[in-house]
Amino acid sequence: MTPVTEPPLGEIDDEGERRALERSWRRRPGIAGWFTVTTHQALGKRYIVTAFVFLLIGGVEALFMRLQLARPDNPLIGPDKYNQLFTTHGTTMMFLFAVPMMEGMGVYLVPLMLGTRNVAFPRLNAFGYWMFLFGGIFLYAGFLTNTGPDAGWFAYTPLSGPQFSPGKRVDIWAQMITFTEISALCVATELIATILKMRAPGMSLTRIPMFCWSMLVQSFMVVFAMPAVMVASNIFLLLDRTVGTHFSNAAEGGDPLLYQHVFWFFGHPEVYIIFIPALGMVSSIVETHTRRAIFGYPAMVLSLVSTGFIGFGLWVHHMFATGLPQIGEAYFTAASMMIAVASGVQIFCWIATMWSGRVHMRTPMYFVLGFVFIFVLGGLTGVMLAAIPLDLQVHDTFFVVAHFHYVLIGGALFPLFGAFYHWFPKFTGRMMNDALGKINFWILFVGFNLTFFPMHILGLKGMTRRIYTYPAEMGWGPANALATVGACIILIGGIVFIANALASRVHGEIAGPDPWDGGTLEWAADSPPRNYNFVNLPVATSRYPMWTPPEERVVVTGVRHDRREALVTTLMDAEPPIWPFITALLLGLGLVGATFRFSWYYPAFGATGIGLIGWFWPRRPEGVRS
Amino acid sequence: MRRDAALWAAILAGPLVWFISMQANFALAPWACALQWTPALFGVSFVSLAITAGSGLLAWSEWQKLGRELPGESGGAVARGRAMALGGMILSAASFLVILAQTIPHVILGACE
Repeated sequence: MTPVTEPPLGEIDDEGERRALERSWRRRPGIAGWFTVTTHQALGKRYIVTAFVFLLIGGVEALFMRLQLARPDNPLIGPDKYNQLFTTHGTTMMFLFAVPMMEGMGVYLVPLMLGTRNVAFPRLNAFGYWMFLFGGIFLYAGFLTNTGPDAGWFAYTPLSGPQFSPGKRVDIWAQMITFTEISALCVATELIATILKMRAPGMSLTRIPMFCWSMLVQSFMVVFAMPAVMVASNIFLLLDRTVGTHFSNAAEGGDPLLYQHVFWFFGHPEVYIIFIPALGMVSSIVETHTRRAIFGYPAMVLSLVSTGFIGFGLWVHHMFATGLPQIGEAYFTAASMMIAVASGVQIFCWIATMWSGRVHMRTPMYFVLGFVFIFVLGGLTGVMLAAIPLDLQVHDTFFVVAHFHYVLIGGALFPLFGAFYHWFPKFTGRMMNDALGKINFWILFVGFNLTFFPMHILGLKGMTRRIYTYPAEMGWGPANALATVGACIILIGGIVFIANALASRVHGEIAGPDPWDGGTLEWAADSPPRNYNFVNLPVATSRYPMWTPPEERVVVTGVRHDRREALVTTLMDAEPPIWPFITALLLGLGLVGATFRFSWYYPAFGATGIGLIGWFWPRRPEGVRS
Repeated sequence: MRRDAALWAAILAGPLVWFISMQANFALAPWACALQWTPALFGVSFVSLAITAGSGLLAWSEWQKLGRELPGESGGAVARGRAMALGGMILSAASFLVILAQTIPHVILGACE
């Protein structure tokens, strides 16, 4: 490895070496290639597109719920289908859209930002994607056959237990969790290893891009949080339902609150698992579109880390109405209020960055400013809900629905749309239409506030969640009608976004590698990036290597081009095999079967073992002779 | 090696002690109520505050030894040490504040509320 001065960064004049890289990193053509791909760009895009499809499905479900609630005594949807709708909507948005979408963005962007060729453990990456896809298909197979889960996205016992939820609906929910959590853990493992071990030479701790820091914190949170939900859904709930254990059966010495504790030990960090990557996206957008180094980099990083830690100490604020000792609940009130400090630090740092930089008001910045406005409102109602007396008054009402939509849509979806506009040129090589993007923003912003702001008032007037209709004399009709109009406007905003993306994909202005004059390394790669990202791996000479004068940029030479090779891990052991797909398929079939008969676990694990043997069977890498 | 251990301890001690303190008090609350003995809750909080303050001081003393400068963009052991020391100070301070906030209920509420 020899660092040499070779401007411009990422280019090389030796066509032979470029051809060798193309050959080493090419994907198999045809259908076989579709099942064997292991490059992070392809899998990242698959995660993003699949999660976006689930966003659309979950959005349509929400729209049906809004249509049902638009007027009192509406006969459009019955209670049973409504129960399935809100459960599937919540489950889809949390498990099939938000987390996989953020992880897909991480899978796509992190290796580019770190200046490497792929994520660590690329085959695990492929396996994780297939598990996620199979889990989503499984949930919707149930929903479309009138076996959709109907006990809420957190499936509280005893409602979700065998006594009150017979049939297979809750089993499908519980097993779907297994699929998506395996997938999330796969991505978290890859990203932790990639960020800690595969950074470009020179990329010290204080030069890691903010988005990569956010994905690192999020990945550690996934590792500690996801096992909790698997314990809740697979051990407590599924064993109670299929084997006859009594984890949640108070009559036999079980405790339904234990389920809630374990579920929310996952469930509250889940909010930050979704929200923290969005903070990284906001930082990337702000620094690029103000062309100023992020203000208070160490404070921003430490705020993310603090949020990651404190996020694990808030879960009981979801359980204030369960009758726990008040002094115990008060600890969680205190922690819930203190976490606002960490978020506040970041918001002030972004404002300071914009204040001291030169803001270019393009579409991504519109979404960032929209995020700040909406998220601050959601944060304020969050602090209100941290107060036990108020929480008890509005518990399980639409006030809570309004709060978490302000936090999750404001805190994650708006930054995500900003990120789509920001990185679309990198994904596709073409710019999105900026004027249409701004129209898109205003439609979504108005539609969002029209939908969810009235829900605060509905909640304060006593309208509870998860009711499929209400009598006219309650006086909730006008606010509900307004919220439904807002939901239809959000739909229009979604259509405008899709139309813009599809049209720009074909007719958009050619972007070039660095259309925004960005500072981080993803902008050194071609748009869209080659399978190997960089011809010569870059060296991070500063926190913003692309803002370094071209004559001072440095690349690494000496890495083999005729094999899949990167730095640190030395060998990207990722010749494209079909075994991750086969292993995911066998394990998936087993898990689906076990939903109906427990004994399916045995052949499932046996078959998965066969898949793993194929996966890990020693092979001689290409280019190495006997 | 000793410095690395000290810096890691300074970074991790605050959040870990906070988490243990919260769990311990949450679990102790019913016992403190049954026995009418609130000092147990105060004891856990004060010990946790002391350890967290100690970890902050440890981070501060390492930062002093490393030249009392903010971590810049440069790499290397010194810059990394400064970044870790700063992280230790801030995480300890944040943990101290959260533990302090969680001690307030002991004063306002009795163990049985």
